[in-house]
Amino acid sequence: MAEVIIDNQVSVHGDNLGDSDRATRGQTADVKATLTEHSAAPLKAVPAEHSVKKAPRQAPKAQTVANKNNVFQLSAQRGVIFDKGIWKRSRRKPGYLIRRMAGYSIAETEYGVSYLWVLSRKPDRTTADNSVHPLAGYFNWKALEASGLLCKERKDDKRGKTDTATIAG
Amino acid sequence: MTNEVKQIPPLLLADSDEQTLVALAHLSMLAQAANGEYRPRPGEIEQRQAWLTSFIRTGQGIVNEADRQLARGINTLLSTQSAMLSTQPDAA
Repeated sequence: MAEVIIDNQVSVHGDNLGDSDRATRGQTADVKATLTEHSAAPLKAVPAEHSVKKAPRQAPKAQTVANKNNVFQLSAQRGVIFDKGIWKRSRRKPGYLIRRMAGYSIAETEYGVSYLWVLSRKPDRTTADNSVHPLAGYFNWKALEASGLLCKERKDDKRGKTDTATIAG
Repeated sequence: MTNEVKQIPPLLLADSDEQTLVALAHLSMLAQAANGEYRPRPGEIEQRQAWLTSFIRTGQGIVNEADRQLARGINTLLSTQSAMLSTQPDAA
């Protein structure tokens, strides 16, 4: 901390050296001269009026960069949105996922989904007989959503990776 | 003595057994039909009811004739009780 004595009356501490309001007319030059003597190199680039107040904020800015990195990691993790073995993207309801069931084929209609037991492939032969195949049946969209067989797909983070200000916020 | 409130963790439907999910879907379809939100085909309600009966009894949704009979029996019983209640003068 630099201390400058002006006319043996006022003492100005180093923290306020850049504040020209503290010095009376004619004394500013002395203060600035002292500032140039004691100020470190990084402060030269910053305007004199704000240099003293901005210095303590340097540390939080460094943390913000770290947080941004964390956000990127989380976004990347969320990029793996769903397991394709368990969920299937709905064709009728974009943005929704339908739960798959092993051995069953999903047939979508405008009103809902039918789970059909697959008898054979190529050509596909299916059956909706639920006296043998317990999970076969038809459910409308509302029932599927209520039961957890349909869920909304988590979208990728729409915020652009270049838009760092938004991500930090 | 402190009153300890037991907190039940929320059920994540996505983690449930497939049959449980299907059972809930059948239940939802029945509720929608009862509320008039969904118009079922003839016999559909009985089928779903039989499936749920089987699932509750055995833990499996494989419907057999016994389940269908039981579902019919429950309906008969419920309709009889309902008729008895409606004939009572104090019935709301």
